[in-house]
Amino acid sequence: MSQKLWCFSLSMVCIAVMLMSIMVGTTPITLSESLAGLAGQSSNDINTIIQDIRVPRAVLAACVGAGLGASGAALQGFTRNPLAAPGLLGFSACAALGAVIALYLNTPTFITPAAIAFAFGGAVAMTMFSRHKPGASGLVLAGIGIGALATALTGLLMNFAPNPWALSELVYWLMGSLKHADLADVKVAVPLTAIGVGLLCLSGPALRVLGLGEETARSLGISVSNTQLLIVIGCALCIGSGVAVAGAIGFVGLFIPHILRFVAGPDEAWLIPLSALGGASFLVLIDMLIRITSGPGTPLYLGIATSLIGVPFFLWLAWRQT
Amino acid sequence: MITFNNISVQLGTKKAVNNVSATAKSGELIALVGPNGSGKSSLIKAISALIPHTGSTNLPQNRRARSKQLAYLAQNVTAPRHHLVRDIVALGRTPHIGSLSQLSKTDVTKVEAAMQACGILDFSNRIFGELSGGEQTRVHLARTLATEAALLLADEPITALDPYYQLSVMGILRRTADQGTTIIAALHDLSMAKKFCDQVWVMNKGDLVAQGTPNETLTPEVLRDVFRITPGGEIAR
Repeated sequence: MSQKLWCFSLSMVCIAVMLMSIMVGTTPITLSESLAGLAGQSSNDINTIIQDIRVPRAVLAACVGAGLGASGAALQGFTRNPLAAPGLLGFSACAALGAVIALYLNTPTFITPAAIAFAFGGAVAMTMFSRHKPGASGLVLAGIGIGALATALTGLLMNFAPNPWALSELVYWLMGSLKHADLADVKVAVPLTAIGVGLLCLSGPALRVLGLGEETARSLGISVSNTQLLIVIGCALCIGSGVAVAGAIGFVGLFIPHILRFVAGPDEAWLIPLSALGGASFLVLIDMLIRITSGPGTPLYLGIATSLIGVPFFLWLAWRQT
Repeated sequence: MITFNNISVQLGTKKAVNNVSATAKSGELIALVGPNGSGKSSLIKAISALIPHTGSTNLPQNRRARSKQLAYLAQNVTAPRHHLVRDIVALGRTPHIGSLSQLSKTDVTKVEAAMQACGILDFSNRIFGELSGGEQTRVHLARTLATEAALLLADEPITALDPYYQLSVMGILRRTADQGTTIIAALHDLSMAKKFCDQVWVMNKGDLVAQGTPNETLTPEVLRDVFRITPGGEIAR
């Protein structure tokens, strides 16, 4: 199957999963009612459920998943390291640190700007620390170091949490969830993620040439530092906005590109948009399953569910490739 | 004609290349020889503008313009294992089409011509990772030929190959030079340099100590003083 066909198929899957996600929940709503609710032509209750709760949640899940998938594919392509992911290179940890600081200071309105600002701060630090050695190894070393620092600082804040309730709030937030998704989050996350994924897609063709090694790519006219800049800014936008609205969601950026590389081929230029679509579909599906399976008690957190479902599949894939 | 003047490369505290100037005529196949650490790779990378250096060349300063005139075959060449041979060779057209554009029919024709020249057209649809080392080298050589650059710089292209592939790769370089491309290839095998090359440039401790035809340069004195061997292939005392 050609990559164009994979793109089309995954787009259809993503739309289908989002429609299902809008229909499914504590109050089942039929497709026709959902579409009427989307247009604001159903009953007030249905209009409210669809427009204020389910659509924002489905759109945000798709948005966060797309950002994670595209970031993972771009980072794996640039570093030529199968373990590279937004979580490993510190983007998620920096964004989470920003959000945790906002939570710690009891200023929830600043969670989004703080997460995005810290993701960018981490990206700037990575670029600065790797400027003497632009390229894969410099970015990986700087990213791991900055990520470790951000994780340690997050731990420090949790260590000095003023009371057990504040600590539990931080811990639950770090597990990742879309249960508080609303239209305000959509207005922030969607444009930032769209720009971020766009930048990452632009870096794709250069990543194809970088597969030949950095020296050869440079001899073919590719600027390694410009490509790194595109990827760092793209990841900061995607991961910063994603962590701001959904908390820290791990593993999607690692295993979605692996699965799509396995089934759709290794071409980085196509892998980034395909991973965006795959990540979006996966996260919408997992969020929908959480809503279906969680009872009225403590719901399963999205970050935990993605790892629980993703890890066995990833291990199976690694075993098959071996 | 490619000219470079006073090229110097400093690697840490070591001067890897020391004020090297030379001119390579169109269609010449030049062997750049010298012991390990003599500065061959550094000179090639400096001409390719891949490492910091001083001095100048008559190649364009602009990265994109230079990449159309200069093709580079790295010493430890690599490529994604799961890519098709055809796709890897096609990356040689990147300087002409940019990384965001698709190959035109003309580009496809040039890619096929490069594969034909390197004898890899038959396995153009195979996976790169399934090829032998010699076949992989020929794929990368085809990729550099697909660029159609006036200057091809090859850093030890035959070092890791068996005798068949050494002769095969040197034969491709010879035929490419005969069609007008200037080629500078770093080599360790002096017999290959004598057999295939028009010129031999001898480097020692960062200096270009001799240049001329193989017979003019690979003299018993040079073999003894630079390579520390005798004409008979023994270690010089």
